[in-house]
Amino acid sequence: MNNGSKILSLEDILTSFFIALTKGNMDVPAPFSMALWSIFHHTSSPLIVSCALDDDSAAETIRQIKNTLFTQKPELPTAFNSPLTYLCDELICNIQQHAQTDKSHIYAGYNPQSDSVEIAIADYGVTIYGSYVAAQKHLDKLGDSDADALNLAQNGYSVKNLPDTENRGYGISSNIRMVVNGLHGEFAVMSGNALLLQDATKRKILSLPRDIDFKGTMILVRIPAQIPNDFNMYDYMS
Amino acid sequence: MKTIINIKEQYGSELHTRQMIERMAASFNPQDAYLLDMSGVEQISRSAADELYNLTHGSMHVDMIHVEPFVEKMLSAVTLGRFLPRQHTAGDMPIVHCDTIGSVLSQLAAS
Repeated sequence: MNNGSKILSLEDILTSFFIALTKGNMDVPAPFSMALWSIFHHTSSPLIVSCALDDDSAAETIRQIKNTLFTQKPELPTAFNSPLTYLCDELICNIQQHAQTDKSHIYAGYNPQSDSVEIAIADYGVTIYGSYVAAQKHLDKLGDSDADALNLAQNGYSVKNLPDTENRGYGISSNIRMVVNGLHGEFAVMSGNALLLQDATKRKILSLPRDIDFKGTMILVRIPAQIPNDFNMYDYMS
Repeated sequence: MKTIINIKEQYGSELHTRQMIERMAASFNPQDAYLLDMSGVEQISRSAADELYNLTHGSMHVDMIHVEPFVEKMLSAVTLGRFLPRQHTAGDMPIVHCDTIGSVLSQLAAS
């Protein structure tokens, strides 16, 4: 697991992260693991970028993510550009509109061992549960936990007033479908003390032990660098 | 007489945020008519496309020309999104309560 030579899945990354939480230090050398550790503990790292995500910063951040990935892996198919942009746009817009914070951390890297692209986009805002409560939306379905809120978000329930007349609330739900079903990748969300995990074989939300509580929302995505021939991004936009 | 706005020159070839479109709209005079020249705009987010829909279907006289294929497809998608009822097709996800790190690790290991 921690010799750095094994191909790490997103589950492996999360497993090593939770083990490290119990030990108090992260000894897995994989960059994605280290980035996850730094983001969770809100510490600086050369691996992650701190950004404000105002209007201009958001556009620049998306350019940086793409530049990083296409520099690390020049052979990434150009067809990767559109879904990558769509993914980052939706997730960063979510932070802008819902998180009620200007603090965020972003990691993007190409993993040559698994030939995959790894992205983490995190904010230190009100959590998904907090954004539903702040908007007073879907309180009848919300329950009382971060896990319930994640369940609503993955099913496309928007916190906005006009979800049926505007294209609101697609961020997490459409991206999960695109990443997992279209690009055969893995998708995880940690918000408060809940963790959503979906890939080809898993689809579940873990309500974490009470002492594990991420003060914000973190999206983790891992996508194989080879885009399936039958992938059509537009299949995942509605 | 319509005022032609070259979007690529003024805002770049990628439109990422609602705020960018809102900022553009705020600079318009409601009494005037505008033509957005979209040539060279190659990427647009759903949010920005949705806000463009608001702009071009609102009270101001704003139209678009020279829309690139990708942007055209995104605009079609958000237009469809306006008229199709919202579907919550993913369904509920099972929620597993983990009281210990051990149970978290077991859940991560389980298929």
